[in-house]
Amino acid sequence: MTAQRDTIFALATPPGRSAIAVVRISGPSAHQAPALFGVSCPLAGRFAVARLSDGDGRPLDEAMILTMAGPRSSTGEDVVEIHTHGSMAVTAAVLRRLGGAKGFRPAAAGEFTHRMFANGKIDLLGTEALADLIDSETDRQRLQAWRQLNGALYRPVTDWREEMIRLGGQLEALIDFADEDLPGSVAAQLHQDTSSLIAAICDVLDDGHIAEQIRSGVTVSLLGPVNAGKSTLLNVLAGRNVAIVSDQAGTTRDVVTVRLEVNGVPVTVLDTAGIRRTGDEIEAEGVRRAMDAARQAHASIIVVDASQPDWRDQLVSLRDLSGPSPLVILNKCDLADPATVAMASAQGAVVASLRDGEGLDDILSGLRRMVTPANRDEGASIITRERHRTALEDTVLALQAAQALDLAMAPELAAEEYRRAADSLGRITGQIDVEDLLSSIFSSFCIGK
Amino acid sequence: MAQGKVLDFDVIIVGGGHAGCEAAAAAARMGARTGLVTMRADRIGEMSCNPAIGGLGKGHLVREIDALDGIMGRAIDEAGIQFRMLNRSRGPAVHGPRAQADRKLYREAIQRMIHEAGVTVVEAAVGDLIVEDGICRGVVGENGRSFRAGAVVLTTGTFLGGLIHLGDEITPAGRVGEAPSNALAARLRALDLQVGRLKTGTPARLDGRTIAWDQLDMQPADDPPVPFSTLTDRITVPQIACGITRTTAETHRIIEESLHLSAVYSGQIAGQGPRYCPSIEDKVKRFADRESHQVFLEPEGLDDHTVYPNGISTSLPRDVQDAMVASIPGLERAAILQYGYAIEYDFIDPRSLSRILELKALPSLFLAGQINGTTGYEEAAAQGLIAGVNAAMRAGGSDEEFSLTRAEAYTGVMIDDLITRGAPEPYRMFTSRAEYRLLLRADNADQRLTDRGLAVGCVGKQRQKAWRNKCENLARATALLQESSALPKALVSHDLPAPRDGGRRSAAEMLALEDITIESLTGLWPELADIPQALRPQLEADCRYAGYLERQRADIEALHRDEAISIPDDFDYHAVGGLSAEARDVMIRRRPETIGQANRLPGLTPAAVVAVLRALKREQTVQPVVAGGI
Repeated sequence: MTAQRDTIFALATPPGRSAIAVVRISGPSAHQAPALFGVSCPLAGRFAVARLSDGDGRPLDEAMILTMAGPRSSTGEDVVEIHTHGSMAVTAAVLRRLGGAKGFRPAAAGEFTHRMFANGKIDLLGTEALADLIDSETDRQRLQAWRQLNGALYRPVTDWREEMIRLGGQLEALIDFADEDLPGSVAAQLHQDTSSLIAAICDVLDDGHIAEQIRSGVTVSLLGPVNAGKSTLLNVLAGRNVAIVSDQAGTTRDVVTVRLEVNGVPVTVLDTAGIRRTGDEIEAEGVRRAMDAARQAHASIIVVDASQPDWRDQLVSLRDLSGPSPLVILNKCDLADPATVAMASAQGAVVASLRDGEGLDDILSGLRRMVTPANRDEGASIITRERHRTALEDTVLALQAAQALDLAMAPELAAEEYRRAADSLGRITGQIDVEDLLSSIFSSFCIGK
Repeated sequence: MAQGKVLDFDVIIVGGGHAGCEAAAAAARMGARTGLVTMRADRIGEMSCNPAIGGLGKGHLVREIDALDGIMGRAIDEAGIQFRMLNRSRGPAVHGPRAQADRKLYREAIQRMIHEAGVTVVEAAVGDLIVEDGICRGVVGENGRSFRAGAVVLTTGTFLGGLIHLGDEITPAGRVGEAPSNALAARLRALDLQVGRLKTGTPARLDGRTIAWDQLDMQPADDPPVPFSTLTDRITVPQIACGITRTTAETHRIIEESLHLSAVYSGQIAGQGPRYCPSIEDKVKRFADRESHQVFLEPEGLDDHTVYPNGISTSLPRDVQDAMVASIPGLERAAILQYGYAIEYDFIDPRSLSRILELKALPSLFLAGQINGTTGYEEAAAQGLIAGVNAAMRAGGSDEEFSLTRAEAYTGVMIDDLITRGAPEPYRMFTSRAEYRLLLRADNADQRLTDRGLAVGCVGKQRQKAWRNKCENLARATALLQESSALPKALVSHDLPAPRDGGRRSAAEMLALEDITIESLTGLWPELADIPQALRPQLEADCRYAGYLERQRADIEALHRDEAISIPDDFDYHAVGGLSAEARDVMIRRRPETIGQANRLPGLTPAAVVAVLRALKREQTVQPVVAGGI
């Protein structure tokens, strides 16, 4: 049976002027593509430099042609890459010629990756990691994407999946082979091994969300009473004037966003309107938005004006708005009572005078601690997406529900929970089939009286 | 029907085993003139291997057969000599009804029921099929006599190319002492179907008068025995106990020393055997650390001294079997009446069948039972029933099909597994194969299936009346359980657990709790005492699992949605973008009938199924292609 599937092509580099441009071609006819330009196709694994001509035999460009043969190629199919000069006219001509050839068509969005996936070159986690690598902006994001491509999460998930199959098999054996001569210890061992599996998954879940933060970044809300110096802080951090700073209370009436890179983690700081009871309608709206922002953020920075007599009360009410362990900055310390300042400092607040740049180093190290807790090993945090976290949490919940059931009385209900756990785990890498369970049963027990 | 030529029958069944009998009875209930062609009429309904019906998963199948008015459940109720409910102490979804049978009583019951159903029995060996215009129109006996029919069901069991192995002796046979069907096997091989080989084995049969029963542990029957059929009021056959003994170190030594003489281990047998029913050679070899294996000594009848030693199936030579049996406590002086053997036989890859068990390549020819790669009487009978009903409809010129889904019945699970995954080893039913196990219970088979059977016409008057009656009672009792409710104070005063939220609870909600039965609620709600005993297990199980069933509803809806998307027979898989060569080959070879089936095909990734689904949808709406290099 000969494959009649389409050969797809697309410009793999961004459109527009550049030094070089790469056109990628994948599919059964890929190796015929060079002939369309009057040149021969290099052997698989080789490249050649050749002068391309257009359909009328006129010169088109001098290009490098690179050949891979399926299944040992990026997509698992025959692949050819044409590296031309990055001219819009050249790439347009190449794409036009390919588009006019029989069996060739432009690729749909994501179709190359889709073919990699369909041909088993990459699994779901790998697909995600590849997207992360392409989207990475910071070094830590790049390194993390590579860890993921190398199986940082895939490996433990695969191990858990195998354990899940074994445990499910033990339980199903208790149900389906009740009249067989099974060892009496199966149920107790099952309970114990399930506890170990739950502990192993929980250990990975309890990672301080570092990898997710590295991938998608951290959002920090900046809270404080009006005119405490929030916008000044932002400007110092950003090194540019993004928020209007003035001495008149209530200048920031909306939420202003600043993107920073702290320790290789993209951080989005949301500057909010100063929080106070106000009659000004526009400002009231700003306050409402500030409270929304605080709720959505991963962490908060609280700035209070130490020169104000009621700063303690303000701090207490702001702590109610912020998440756990906010970074507290005591601004305008040069104007404050030194004893008060010393006491606040002892309680962990950063003492600063932002206008003079005082306390900035402490603020920066506080921010760093906030985005990457010091007691966590970054490499050990391997959950990069909410999807993985939800699936693993569902797995644990189902296993815990199973543990609460009596295997002697209700093994069929426990089995439903194991099935749910296996389905959740399967959402990360792939399904667990009943045949897997049966194979596990027959390899571990002597069944058949 | 068959181009005006005179038909001998509407439906012809070839084979008188458990698939054949159920197929014949079903076709006859559908009103078809049915002929059952078999080599020996006196062996109809024979239990060739273990004289028992039911078990986990298998007992569920028998209840389903009964719900569709089949005969297996009623026959075992007339013949069972040791009824036991497996997993009795556990939840109702995994209760497995099982019974040892008196082989003679069982055979007699089946033969009488076949006769009462109006099936004509013809003694002949079938050697050929009548095929006209690519459609099966009957069979031809080895003696040359032909029988024309509107549809044919083949249930040839282990007779196709059957070879018996005993040590190094090889005898062509379908069963001990009976000739195989080699001409028919050759005819089927010529049809260009995938034909494979499977094997199974059976232990030696012992003379019960030579067993030292007084030295053995005995396993009694349940008291009272619970019948299989809803039409059986109570079991009247006397109940017996079975003996239990174990293999010894000496047994294992004898086997190990003679392994090279076993047909299975000498490489003499090519076919794949079942992992769940290994020979004693297999057990000793694969589980070398086990010091001993259990052996059940099961009498084959009330007035038959033959005993079936369950657990030591073997194909070792006769002298080794003698020594092996003598090494087992209680069997030191046991005489062997018939030696154990392994049998190898042809089966047709069931992936060549549609979901009504009709051969896709030869319409009007249906296959059921071991010919499809299954093992077990119950698996065979359930297929026979589906094939028989559909053969009758085919013969009657109807395009209607009767099939069951995975969410309706174990029968549906089995047939779906067979036609999508094939049978790499002899296929046996387990409850773990059913993803909706809490729903597909042995106790509610009638609720699931009897109305389906009535609609298609395979359920007779007597069961219809009994079922209508039961339905009314079930509805009344269900309403009563939902309407009876009480506040925590009242619950506590009757020693019942009170809900923490302080809210009102219905009797139905209380039954979801462990250890609560209708009986335990009659103190608080005396009106519940009127609910008939026979209905209680069913009602209690429904309430017990209500929460879980709710959770499964979404899954079942997804299943039905996928099953409702059919893939046309001529669907062009080459036109589907993003399909790997491997996935495309699987699809073209298997030709799944629905997206649901495609989902379950081994070797297909979810991505491949989604690609096909997209292509199916694109046939209705043309979607623009977007460019992009990733």
